[in-house]
Amino acid sequence: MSFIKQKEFAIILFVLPLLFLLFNYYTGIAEPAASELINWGSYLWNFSMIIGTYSLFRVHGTNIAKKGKDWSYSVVIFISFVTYFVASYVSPDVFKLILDYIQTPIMLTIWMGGFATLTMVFRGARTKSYLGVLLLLGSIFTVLRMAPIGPLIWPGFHTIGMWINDVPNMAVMRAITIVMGVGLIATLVREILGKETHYLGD
Amino acid sequence: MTEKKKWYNISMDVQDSLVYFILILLCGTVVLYPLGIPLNVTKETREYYDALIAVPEGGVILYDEAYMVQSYVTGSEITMFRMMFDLIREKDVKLIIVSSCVDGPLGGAMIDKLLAEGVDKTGTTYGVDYVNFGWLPGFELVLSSISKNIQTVTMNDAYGTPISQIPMMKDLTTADIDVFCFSCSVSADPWMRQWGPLHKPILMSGGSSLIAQAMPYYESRVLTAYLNGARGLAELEQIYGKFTIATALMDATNLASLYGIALILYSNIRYQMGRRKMQ
Repeated sequence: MSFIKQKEFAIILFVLPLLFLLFNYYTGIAEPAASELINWGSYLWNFSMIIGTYSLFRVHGTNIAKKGKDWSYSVVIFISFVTYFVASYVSPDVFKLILDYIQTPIMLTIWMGGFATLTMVFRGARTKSYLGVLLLLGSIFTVLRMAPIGPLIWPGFHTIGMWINDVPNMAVMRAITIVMGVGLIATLVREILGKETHYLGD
Repeated sequence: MTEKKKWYNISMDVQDSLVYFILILLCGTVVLYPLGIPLNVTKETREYYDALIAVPEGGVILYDEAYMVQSYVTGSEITMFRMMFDLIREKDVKLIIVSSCVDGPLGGAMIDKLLAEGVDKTGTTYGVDYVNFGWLPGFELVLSSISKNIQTVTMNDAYGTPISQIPMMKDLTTADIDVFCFSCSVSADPWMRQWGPLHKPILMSGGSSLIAQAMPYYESRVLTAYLNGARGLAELEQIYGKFTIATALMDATNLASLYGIALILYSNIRYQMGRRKMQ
């Protein structure tokens, strides 16, 4: 079997630049080459968008050809994609129109957590234990610390809210950050040794 | 014999609709009748403001606009841009604007909108006083590139001009950048990872939940100062003296916060009453 098709070749392609960047980080040698390698990461990002576009076209094109489930929505996707793509090059005004009046409201709707949060709070924030009560009290103090009206009702809300932020929250976030860092290092070692191959789709 | 239904025992869907209706009513009311609840400036916002205006004469600020789509709609970061352009005029500061936003090119659109609609650019020249790199793909790769060498971040600016032809970029290195600012909605970790080792002032503005996550960096002074979400932006306007929608939204924030707490208390009281009744 050709060496290029073997998994080991892909691992070498991944590990060698990784080791080079590590070497550059700790020694400072070959800085221009390292900068260029990092820029190649951005180029690969762009290529991955091309792959994503191809995948999108293939999946939805097949759906339309076979008149599969909800194939009419696949047509909408194609029309939207082509319109947006062409407008970005041919007519910036139309592009801005689509961005302002179609994409942005849709993204706002998806990202708007206010209503969902309220429903979650209304239905789910029921305490069944003393720890639950403690958690809720902490949330209430934090909310009232952030809202300008909190300190106006009682200055203690700000004081206690800040203490919650600066002491228990800090301790927990510090622990999480350290654990994440240790986990990253462990993953890096496994990748260098070739034991971690998630990037190959395994 | 069936028990007579109490007036508050309404269906779940109606309860949800009622919750949303009251929220819309409350927030809509303050649009028509602003409450004008006073806003005190906290120590954190004061630190942010002091750190930003402490940039030396002729210094360089780099600003990474990576906030969420709400920022695009509300333009709530106008005040920061206005402050930076004031610094350009008063202290001959140079400004590099970039977006590594994970939301995609919307980050670049946010910059364009802020520059076009919110900022007074008189007395400044593009390419000499400020440059816009636009949105660049790669997120943390962009941040890493900035930390290594600002000249290699991109070949052209947001308008297609080669970086080599932009006067203020001539001979500029990452070491020349005096202050790094960023706004984001995701974790602060990527910025801290890439810019922390530069040992320069780093200023952050982000959502309230993000601040909690970034507290270890602030405590260890890797992060110099931060703005506390929407409230921080409104407080900055209090210091700056010109008000925009960021301040206007505070009244709605106040009422929505109190309403959320009232809902929590109500749902817990109902739940406990129901438990006692069953026992």
